[in-house]
Amino acid sequence: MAEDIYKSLSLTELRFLAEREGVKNVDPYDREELIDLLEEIWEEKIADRKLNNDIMRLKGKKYDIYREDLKGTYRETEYVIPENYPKTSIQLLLRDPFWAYAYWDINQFELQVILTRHPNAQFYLRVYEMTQCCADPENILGSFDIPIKVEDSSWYINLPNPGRVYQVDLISENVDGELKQLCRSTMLESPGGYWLNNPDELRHNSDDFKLFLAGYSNGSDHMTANILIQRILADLEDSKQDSRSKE
Amino acid sequence: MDKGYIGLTLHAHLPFVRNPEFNRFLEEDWLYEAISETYLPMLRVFNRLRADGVPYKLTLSISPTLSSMLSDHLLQSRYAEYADRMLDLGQKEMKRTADQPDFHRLAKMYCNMHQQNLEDFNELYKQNILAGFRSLEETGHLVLITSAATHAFLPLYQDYPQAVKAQVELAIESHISHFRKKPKGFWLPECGYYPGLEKILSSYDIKYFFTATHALTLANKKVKRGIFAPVDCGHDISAFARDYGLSQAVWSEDDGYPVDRVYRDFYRDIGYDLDEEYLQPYLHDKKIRSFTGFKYWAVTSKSDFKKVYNPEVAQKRVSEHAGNFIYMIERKTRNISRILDRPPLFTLPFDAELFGHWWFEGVSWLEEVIRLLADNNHIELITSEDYLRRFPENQQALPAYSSWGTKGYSSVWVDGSNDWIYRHIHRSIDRMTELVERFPDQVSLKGRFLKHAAREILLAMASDWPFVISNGTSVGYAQHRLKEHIHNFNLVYENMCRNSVNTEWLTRTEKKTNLFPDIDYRIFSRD
Repeated sequence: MAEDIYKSLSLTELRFLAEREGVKNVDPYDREELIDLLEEIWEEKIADRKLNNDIMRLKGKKYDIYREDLKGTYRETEYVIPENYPKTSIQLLLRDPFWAYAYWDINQFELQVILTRHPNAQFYLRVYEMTQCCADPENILGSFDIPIKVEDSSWYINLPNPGRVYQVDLISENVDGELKQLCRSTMLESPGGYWLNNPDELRHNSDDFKLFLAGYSNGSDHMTANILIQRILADLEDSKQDSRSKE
Repeated sequence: MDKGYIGLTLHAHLPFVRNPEFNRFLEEDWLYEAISETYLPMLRVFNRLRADGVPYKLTLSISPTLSSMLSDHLLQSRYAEYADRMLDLGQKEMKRTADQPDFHRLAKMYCNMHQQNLEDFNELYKQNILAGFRSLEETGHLVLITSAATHAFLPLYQDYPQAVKAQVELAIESHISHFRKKPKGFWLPECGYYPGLEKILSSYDIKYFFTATHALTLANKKVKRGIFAPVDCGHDISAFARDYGLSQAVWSEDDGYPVDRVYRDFYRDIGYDLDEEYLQPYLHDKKIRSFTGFKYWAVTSKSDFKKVYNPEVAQKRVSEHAGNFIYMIERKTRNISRILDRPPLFTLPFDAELFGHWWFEGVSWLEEVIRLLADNNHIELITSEDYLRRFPENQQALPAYSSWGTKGYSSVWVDGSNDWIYRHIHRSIDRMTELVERFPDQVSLKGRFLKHAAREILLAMASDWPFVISNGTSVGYAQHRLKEHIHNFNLVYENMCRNSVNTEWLTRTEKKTNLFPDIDYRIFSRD
């Protein structure tokens, strides 16, 4: 059906749609090629949506009133929003137990001062892993650095362990190895939970195990895609196999 | 046989879309479709059950943006026009299909539905369908609760407690103004919870909220009743976790009831099948084909091959599916009761718009389930409020950070396509707090200017925009809306920093965005 609709559009309209999908330099493409390309992009989008869980897929239908790919240019003013903000700061947002999204701004004046004094300055994100949300250095289990470019302003950070607290510093380093902390994020706690730390109880108590999974059961089958629950189940399976091999 | 409880909660929400500057506006159809296909048919079912003396009590969350739109005169009159247009299309369809009996009776079915919608909307509810829900609450059939003011996904604002408080406080104020009653329950948008949120909710006298399943499965303590009872979060507030397994029967697009082959297909719509010229009066723009709601085909299979929809066959299947649902609950009750010290509670929250809009037969299924439960001696329909009254003592535990989105956390609302929005929204919140500190007691023009700035931030916080961008539907519109709100906020901020007010702009923008007219901009103060 989409192919038929694309076929009904003019070359200019097809070029506009392709440009909107991020295709650079649409001029060399002929009509047929553009139709194929757009159809391919649309199929990819549909495939991406299928990765969503059922609730998200069905929720999407609430907003389905037309096919986005076939809708023309947006009909109102393009609003201008700030490119960056003058306050040097970094923010950490939890995406899931193993990933956080960090974004930051560096005051342009402050940045110019650093780069004028130290043209080869390096920039890092220093990620601290801690046991709890408290500034006591004793809680720090370790840290690791992520080198970034001066033009970067965001990063997805892998959090090694669930149930831990993370904090990030934005740091510049000059050629002499001198470090300067430009800003620090607030602390972020990655979700963990009782069973992550006490999986053995689940192994030894069948009622606990039944209760643990019962919320994901329709009475006959269990289904859960939660990464921490899958990890607990995998740990239980591993320890079961270990016991078997010892026997 | 073992006893069990089932807590059905429906969450009705749509983002605030109101564009008086256009005669017709495409995205306003989200509201009109939901009124036609979900809210009015649902009200008919609830009223019918009440009239038949069927005992039932459900929880219904109505978001403040939806309440505002449903009580807005412009949108009410535009809905009446929309329903008129749909009735007109129905009559035209009856003529077009006169020689095709299978299609003709479906055209007639839609025509009757729009006729009934118009009558209910104009005559029964005098264009304000909130009155219908209020009446059902007054007779004890519904418990109405609220949700965040603009449906913000709250875990992504946990470092901005002033913004979270603003979302909660305004939600409660809005609920009181529409329903004349303070809500005891709160629907967390997308079931998005972070530890600490319960304290904010509790400080506004909220007694319970709903979470995803793993919020309790992965709680900080071993939860002895699993998800089959609420937990006491320690501040006179309880968390009810949804039963993922049971709700999949309804939610699943792969093997849930709604995709049964005899049910009506959602995608095949005359808006895409018929000539543009014929559809012209009903489309927004000749370039944009859109759904009309006139859908004549059954799901049939996953291929393009479709059979004509047969409502009688579908209704028979509705009864079977309602029976199967009760059977599943009974079976699960039997399976789980042995290890519990009280009857299990199955918490089943759903988006209201799932019923009727996507799952056309969903409203009938809901009616059948309620009727079957009324005659069932083992499974009792109960609301969270009544459950807490009956079982006031619950285990203390803190739920885990969670949502009901894909993968169970925030990844739907923070991904490569939508993560850019948070820098702007968070900075705007900081700037709004700064404005409150600099201008703590403005009234008149500057007060209006600041009120409007607060409104713009709240609208930018809606979870709908990052969801829509991530989901790939209406991306252009969602991006446009976000940029509009961020731009408008910054315009106020910059003007206030220069100690000036753009009166003409303010008047125009207030007229367009009339949400929360009594908002106090100091709601964004740091305290």
